[in-house]
Amino acid sequence: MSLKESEGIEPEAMTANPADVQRTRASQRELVWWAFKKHRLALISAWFLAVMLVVIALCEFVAPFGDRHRDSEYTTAQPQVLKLWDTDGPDGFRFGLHVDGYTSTQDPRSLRITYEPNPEDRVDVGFFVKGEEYELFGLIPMDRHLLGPKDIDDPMYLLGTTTDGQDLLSQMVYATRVSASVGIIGVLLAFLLGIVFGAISGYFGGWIDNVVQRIIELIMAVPSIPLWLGLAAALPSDMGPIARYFIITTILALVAWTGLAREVRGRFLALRSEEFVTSALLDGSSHARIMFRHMLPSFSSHIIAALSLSIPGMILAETALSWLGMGLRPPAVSWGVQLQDASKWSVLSGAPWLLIPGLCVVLVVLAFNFVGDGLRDAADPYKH
Amino acid sequence: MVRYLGRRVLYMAATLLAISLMVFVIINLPPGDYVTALTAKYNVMGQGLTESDIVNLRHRYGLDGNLLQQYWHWITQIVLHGDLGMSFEHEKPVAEVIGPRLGATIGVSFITLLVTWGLAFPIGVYSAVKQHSLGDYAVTTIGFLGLATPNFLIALVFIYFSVTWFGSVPSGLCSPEWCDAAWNLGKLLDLLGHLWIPMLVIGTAGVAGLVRIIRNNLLDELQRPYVTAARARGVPEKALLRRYPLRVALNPFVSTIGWVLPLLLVGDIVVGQILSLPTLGPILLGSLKSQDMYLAGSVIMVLSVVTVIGTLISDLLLGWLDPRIRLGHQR
Amino acid sequence: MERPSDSKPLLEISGLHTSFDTYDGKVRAVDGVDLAVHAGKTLCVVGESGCGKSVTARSILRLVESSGQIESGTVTWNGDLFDGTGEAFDVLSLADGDERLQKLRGGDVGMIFQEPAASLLPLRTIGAQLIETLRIHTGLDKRAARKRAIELLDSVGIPDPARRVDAYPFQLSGGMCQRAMIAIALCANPSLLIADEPTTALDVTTQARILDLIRSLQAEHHMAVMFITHDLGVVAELADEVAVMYLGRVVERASVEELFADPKHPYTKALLASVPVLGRDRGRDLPTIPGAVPSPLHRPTGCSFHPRCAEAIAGKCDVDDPPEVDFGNGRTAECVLYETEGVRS
Repeated sequence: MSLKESEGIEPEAMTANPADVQRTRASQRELVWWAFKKHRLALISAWFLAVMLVVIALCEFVAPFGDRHRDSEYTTAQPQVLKLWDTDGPDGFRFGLHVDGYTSTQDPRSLRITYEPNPEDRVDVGFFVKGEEYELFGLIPMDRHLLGPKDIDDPMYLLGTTTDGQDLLSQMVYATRVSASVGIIGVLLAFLLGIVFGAISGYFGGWIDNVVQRIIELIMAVPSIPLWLGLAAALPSDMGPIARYFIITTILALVAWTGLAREVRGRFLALRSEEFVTSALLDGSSHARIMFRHMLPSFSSHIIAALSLSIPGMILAETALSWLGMGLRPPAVSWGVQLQDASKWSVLSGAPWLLIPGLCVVLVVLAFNFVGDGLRDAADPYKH
Repeated sequence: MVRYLGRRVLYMAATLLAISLMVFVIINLPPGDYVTALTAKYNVMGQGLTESDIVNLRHRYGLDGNLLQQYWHWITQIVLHGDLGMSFEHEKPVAEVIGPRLGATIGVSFITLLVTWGLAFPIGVYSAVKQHSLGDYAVTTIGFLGLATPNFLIALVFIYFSVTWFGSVPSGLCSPEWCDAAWNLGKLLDLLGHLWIPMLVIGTAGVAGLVRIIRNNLLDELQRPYVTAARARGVPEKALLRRYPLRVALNPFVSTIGWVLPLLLVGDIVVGQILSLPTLGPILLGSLKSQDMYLAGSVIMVLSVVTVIGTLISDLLLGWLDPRIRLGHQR
Repeated sequence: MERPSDSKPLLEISGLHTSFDTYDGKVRAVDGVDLAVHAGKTLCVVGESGCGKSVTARSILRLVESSGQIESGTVTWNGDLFDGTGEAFDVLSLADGDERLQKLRGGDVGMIFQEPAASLLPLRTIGAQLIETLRIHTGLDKRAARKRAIELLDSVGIPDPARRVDAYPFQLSGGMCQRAMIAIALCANPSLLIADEPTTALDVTTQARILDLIRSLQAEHHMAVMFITHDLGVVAELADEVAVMYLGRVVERASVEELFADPKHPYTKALLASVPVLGRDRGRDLPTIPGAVPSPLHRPTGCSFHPRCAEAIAGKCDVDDPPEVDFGNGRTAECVLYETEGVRS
């Protein structure tokens, strides 16, 4: 009994849904993106990180004050609340962005000075105000800042000041650039090492794999923080901040590459027996070409997910190291360095705002974690 | 099983040896050594040291010869004579510096480990079984936060509230009146009263990580065919949960000792100072900065030994729990 | 062939609707299914992957996964419960902790699944799992249960059962695991065995042996069997009655001879036509059913098969739901082509 196909309905109707058709024609990258979009938390985090990246690029513009700005008149001053209008002036209601200035009181016994908001002293605040000069991207000389006091000598400290009289908000913006970039660059470095060694280990197998694996296990067996501390302690203390920044990043990467190498190796081992590898070999491709042009791209989304998930660890490590005094040091500023300020009990009890950089750490780490999770779930679009 | 054990012990020894070499090299990276610093100190005080003084000092401290010779001297002293060397900074034998702190370190870490497990397991199970419930979302959120917060930050926040609300911070592991007293109930209670703070600070990341692991593992196992098949046989629900998916999810959980223990030890390093704990952590930092070679090396070796033993124990437990590993099945 | 259409069926599924909540919406995996299994007889449920046959089987014992729920319908059990009470009841209406549900699962109804090795706990011996089930349903003590376990393993054809009872699932082959599963499913002498594609994951020779085993055990214990499969060859070998499913509905019911000799529903005809026959199709392309099974999220309007049907009537099949036509004696087909022939349901 044969089917009378000519009497059937048109093939297009058979798949019943145009969206399904689109899905069968989509590239892998599109599929990954669609799956990622479904992960609401990951999406929000991705936007958050995008904003952070913009802030990092426009650091000097976003920060109200320069990174060396120090106001010895107002040390450990509390945060000022940004207000849109007030009724304290002589003319009654006034509209305009401003903060309340400070009055200081000194405790006669402890000689500690505290600052309180003084509603009668109004400090006008504006957008795109003239402030300290700087060079955007190191090239374009500018002096406008996103937000700042209209009079450059007035105090506008939205997050309070540190024990040195630095504006916490500005310092935090600069610290973001340092801490986040250490995390990202460190992971990229670790990745370079990890991919190369993992690929070689997994692809060739045999004794090469054994040797590399033993080395990796050895490095992983040493507790990581002592290892970092040891390496960091070896650095001369008079090293300039920039050199120190790069060396610290490298040290962190040198310890972190092992985990990534293991993962990459696992994938290469699994893929080694796939047919497309054999056929590439038979075609005469060199090993390097097969490894990096054929095999690696097939799990590139997994790698990107792993990258994103490794950054939090790196950021936490640098923060801890700097807080201990072994990582970055003043005048360089990172979140860890900022938190050192908050570590004296006597100071902390009166100035809890000094802990706000810690909030930055938590938020950024969470964001990278969520994005990494979302990417990892989306990395296998064919799994669903 | 014995062969498995034997192989692991041998492997452990080799690892420790290699670690000791690596650690020794790293500690000696900064230029100069203790005698150089000592010479500088004496110069500042106006008392110069003669050449022969310096040579003698070097010899006495085992700092003469090239790096390999120094290493050999150090290692043989430890392995053959049980002599950990001298701490330059504290001017006492290393064993005397480490000894009293060793007990506290192992004690705090071990108790924290037990509490961490004890908390993480039921929370993780609850979170997986009642997935998507309010409790689950709360647990997952707190878990994420716990993993994202550096433990010294937790310590600082805790200290802030302690000072603001109570006016003081309980530091160390004992109050003055109990520190030198003999062991009795009062001392125990006082100890517990002090212990929960480091446990909270150091153990948070561990609990968060473990909860996540057991939750994810259990969620995976709950979907498996053998759960449906067991239910189809009429196994009652509670027994089903316990004997089937939970049992399987337990295995990777056990293998987590391997990294939780080092996590706790490391947490001690970072937080120990701020809480004035009488553990090994606080002295490690100082010893690295002052190039107190033997002390630093010994502390790191102790931490490594504890870690390696912990991994061994977890591997053994895993082998005992999982017949697939015991009987050599390749999955 | 004798048709026990007057006697009450052992298990009667009526109006079953089971759906799953997925991210893309609600999937109606079982969309109104009526089935009946008679004592001592074998019913084969056939269909392609995704037609809802597995979900139907799981719904009977309320084994549907947590993301799914049984929305409506009844599953009436007319058999004697293991403890002898003779009242019929609706399985779906039982409370979760009801004893009768427990007794049914593994006691009066045994079930075996598609992946035998994955359906056994890897960390315990097959003996331990068998003994556990025995003790739940028969109350034997440990020693007696172990003895019985060895006997059962022997009866399903596992060689050296006294030693194998202490083996772990990963130490046994797929075929042996399936035999062990059958032993577990039968240990309490059930009156119904539900087999959810038990041989799909096995090679052909093992498959034949397992089918032989099931057949002989069925004869020995006078057991009813509900066999889920997508393989028409298995149907031909094993079935007394057949139900063909497509996209969550039963499109045709017939005895096995009637189905192969005179298929009514166009889907059934297409299925049968696509089975390659030795010698017949030489030199021709293998016949297939054009198109693909639509996603349950986007059901075609009217008859769900119409986009792929060679005999579809435009204007009718894509608009109205097809009627279920009863030809008498349990023979039905859900198709508009037979509207005038039989009694409309």
